Amino acid sequence: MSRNVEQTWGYYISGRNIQLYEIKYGGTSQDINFRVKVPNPEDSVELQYPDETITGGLMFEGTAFIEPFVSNDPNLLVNGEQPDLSADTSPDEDSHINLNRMLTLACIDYIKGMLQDRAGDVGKKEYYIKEFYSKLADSESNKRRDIMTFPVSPFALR
Amino acid sequence: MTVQEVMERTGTTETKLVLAWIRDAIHLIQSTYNENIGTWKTDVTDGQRDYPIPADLIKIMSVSIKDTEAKKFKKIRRLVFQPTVTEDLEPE
Repeated sequence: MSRNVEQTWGYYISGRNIQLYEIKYGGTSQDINFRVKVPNPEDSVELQYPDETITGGLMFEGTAFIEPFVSNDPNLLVNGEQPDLSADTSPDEDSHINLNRMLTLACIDYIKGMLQDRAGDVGKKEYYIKEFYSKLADSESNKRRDIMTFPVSPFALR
Repeated sequence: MTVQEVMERTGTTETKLVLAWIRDAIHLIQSTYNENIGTWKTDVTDGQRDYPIPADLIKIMSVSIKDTEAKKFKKIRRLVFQPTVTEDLEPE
């Protein structure tokens, strides 16, 4: 039975794989919930392969592949409801891009940049790629409200 | 926004090339920001160290292990340095 896994397990990224290790303290992973620990020369930290089978026990979280093209506009509500998006497996000019409008505008900058790259104008390409990342940042900042506060010195007279 | 509208805004008529660039741009977006987040689960096998990273995972945000006692998935730490033992011939 696995317990305290946040303290007793670790992973190392090795190419396309991850390597899972159990971290053993003094040969055991059971008694590490100490607040004060007296140094003991017999205690050693050791990494070993997982010593138990856990069904569905490893979970990755990350950004996932997204279907790039869908048959409906993802930015338009349908009768007040979220649109039902189905992947367009053979996209053409009538397909919709599966992004919000700001990110779609960023894609336009990316394509303009690639067109300039193909034309050999690296300066303009850099400009459009900068615009691309600027719109990405704008889209991201739309999701959160950041508040900046500045400390005021009590003896500052301005 | 349709692909045609994108093509009109960029002044190009090469549909396949635009579709490919849109795919590239979306991949770049996913690589930079957390636009579409997913989870993948697989079994942990006794004595097995290596597990493949899911093919459609673009950017790892966390790796978790199921705490069967607490019945929760908990994030585990990433080891910065490769362990000294490169292969254990007799894992416990």
